[in-house]
Amino acid sequence: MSAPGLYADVHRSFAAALAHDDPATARRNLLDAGWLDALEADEAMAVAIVFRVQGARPCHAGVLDDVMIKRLAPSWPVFDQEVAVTYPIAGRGRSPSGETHAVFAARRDVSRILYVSDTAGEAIELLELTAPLEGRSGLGVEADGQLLMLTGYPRGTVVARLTAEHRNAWDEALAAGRVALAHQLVSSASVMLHLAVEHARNREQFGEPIGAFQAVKHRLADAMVAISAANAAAVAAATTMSQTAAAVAKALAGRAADRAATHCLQVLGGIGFTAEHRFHRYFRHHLVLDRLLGDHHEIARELGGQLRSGALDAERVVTLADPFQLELFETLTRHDTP
Amino acid sequence: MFVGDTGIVQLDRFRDALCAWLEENTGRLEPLIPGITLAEEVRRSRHNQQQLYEAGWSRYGWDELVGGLGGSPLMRAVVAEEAMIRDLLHGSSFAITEVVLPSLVTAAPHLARQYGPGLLRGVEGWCQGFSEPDAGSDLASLRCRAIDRGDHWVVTGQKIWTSYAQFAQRILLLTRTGTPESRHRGITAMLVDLDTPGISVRPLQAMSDRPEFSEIFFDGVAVPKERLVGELDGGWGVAMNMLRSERGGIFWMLSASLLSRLASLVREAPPGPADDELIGHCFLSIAALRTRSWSTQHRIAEDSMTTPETSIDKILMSTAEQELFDVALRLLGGRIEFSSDPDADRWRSGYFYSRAASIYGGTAEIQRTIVADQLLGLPRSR
Ligand SMILES: Cc1cc2nc3c(=O)[nH]c(=O)nc-3n(C[C@H](O)[C@H](O)[C@H](O)COP(=O)(O)OP(=O)(O)OC[C@H]3O[C@@H](n4cnc5c(N)ncnc54)[C@H](O)[C@@H]3O)c2cc1C
Repeated sequence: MSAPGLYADVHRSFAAALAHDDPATARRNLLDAGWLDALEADEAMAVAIVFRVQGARPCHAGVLDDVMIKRLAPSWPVFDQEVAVTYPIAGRGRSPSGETHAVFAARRDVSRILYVSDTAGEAIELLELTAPLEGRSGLGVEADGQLLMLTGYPRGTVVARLTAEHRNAWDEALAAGRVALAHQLVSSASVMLHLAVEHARNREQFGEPIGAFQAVKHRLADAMVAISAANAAAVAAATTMSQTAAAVAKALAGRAADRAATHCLQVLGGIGFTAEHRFHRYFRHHLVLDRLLGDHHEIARELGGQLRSGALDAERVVTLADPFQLELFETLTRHDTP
Repeated sequence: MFVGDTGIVQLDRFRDALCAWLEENTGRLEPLIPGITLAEEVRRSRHNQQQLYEAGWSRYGWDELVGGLGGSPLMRAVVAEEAMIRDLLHGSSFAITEVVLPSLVTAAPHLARQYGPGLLRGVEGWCQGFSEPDAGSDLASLRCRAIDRGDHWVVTGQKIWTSYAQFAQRILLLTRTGTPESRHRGITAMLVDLDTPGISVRPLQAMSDRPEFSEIFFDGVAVPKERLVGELDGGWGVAMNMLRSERGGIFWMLSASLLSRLASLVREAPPGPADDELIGHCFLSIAALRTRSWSTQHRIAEDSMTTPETSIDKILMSTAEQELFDVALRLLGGRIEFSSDPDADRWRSGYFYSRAASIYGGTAEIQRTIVADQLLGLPRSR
């Protein structure tokens, strides 16, 4: 379907656009590079490439908002690009300072926000802000000013509420967002693996590269197996765009990143634990990504509940009739090892 | 009918038509119901294979040489998947078709033409004679000797853990034709009839109390030269190709079967909300195998997948299968350990067989080492 090399060209151009420390600038560059047109023309390719680049850098240019809004806008025409999404982060333990939502800092100047109370799609509101968005950056593991944490209900007026008739659109938006995050997790995990493999080849102890020790080999092999499965699941979900496949992709990617983080840190040893080595940036990044739109245990519970209700009785996740894009698959696999 | 002018296979139409046929022809199919012996399971599986062959379904995706109708190998995987989830196939004995036949078509077309159709039709069974008492993971150390006697070989030695050899008519045998030290360079593959004088097959009871495999003794067995598969001393390559094809269609079929076993487990032993995370993670592990296998199927069909890459699929397979039966052991709450009704027997034999998933076809450790050495490029140990 595409001219040879198209994927690689798009990858190069999006990677150049995102190579900027200030998230708002990175976002502007990406829009100039044609991100929204690409999203419209070939979502599977555009999303795979942009989110993989984000995971490999790592950064957040607020593109998740675009992916979700693309699904909501057709049936709920109150949207445009100027709407930012707030992502619920509240877990079981409430923080005394009251952080409830994350917003991408790249979107801090928007005039309207989609306030998402929870990912199940209950109580979702579109707000017209009456004061600049207030939030704090640099909280938690996120040190690069890429996220803004909201501590209360933003000051603004409700323009619209998501009602039952938009429920399907929300489910689709959630699925599309999960697929995108799955791609980003896969590439962050791949970078962790790459860093650990390089280290294992070069670091010598007992007169041998540590990568020659079987205990080290098997940890890294386990990380690769988990990442490879998550990679395939992300590509499959992008093809079928079913809610189940998207949930599977996000959870497998979160699980793979979790395993890669554990095994790779162990192989890196002391140097991996330092702030000086860049490994920790990916370690932190995967913690954030796993939480957005449902972490892997939460999604496992979600799927478990559906299994119990019989909703997954005939579920096959993907079938051989679902088309496979070999070139995209190979481009992604190649670029995931920087 | 399902292969268009452009050569593009209409897989969804193919699958729909197949499912409709399976629906209409339940009368002539014999499902593997709980409570029957292993021998009966194998007999039913072959009967069903024969029905699928005669109706044409299992001929798609195979070369004309073996009685096939051509088309993409993906079609084979679809047939195996749909038959398997209806309990029409004994997966681990049916697997031999996918293991041996694709390699035979390329490495020994004359044998594929003569004997392939019988295997595909289910009128005979074959087995895979690789492992020996002293050559398990270290397959390249195998010793079963084939001595050149001009127009035939004379084979002497022993094979072990040969799955379902007691139900088989032929064996794909790896023999030592080079010096004992020649390792993978001195191995030759051949297709041998199990009724040849000098061969004795002794079934072995597995820990499940079922005779899942046999040991086979070869005492001066004469094998005609035309039974050579691949080149003389080229058996290692043939064996590696077989591992790759096994991990294609068979794992795809298995992933569907594991999904349906999980769904039936949840129906038979209803879990509570407290188990959601457990069963959800199990679903994820099966989905990991399935989505990976989806990409593998397509990549094998486009000839862009190497054998070492399929080690990833093997690890995902054994992980998913063992996790499913671990969950079954927990949820069934004692039935596997204490009951002997047909349903409990079936869960128990599945549970036991799953324990071997990280041993047969190359152990979990060997697969991880292949991934590390050949895919990640880590240094070999000294
Ligand atoms: C149910 C079942 C069906 C089978 N069917 C067939 C069949 O049809 N045909 C056939 O030819 N064979 C068959 N096999 C045999 C199977 O391929 C072997 O069991 C397998 O290759 C392992 O060999 P082994 O049993 O000798 O164990 P070993 O090789 O002795 O291994 C024992 C343990 O040591 C570990 N180990 C060995 N070497 C290494 C290493 N280098 N690094 C790290 N760990 C290592 C292994 O991982 C394993 O955990 C079957 C086995 C089973 C259980």
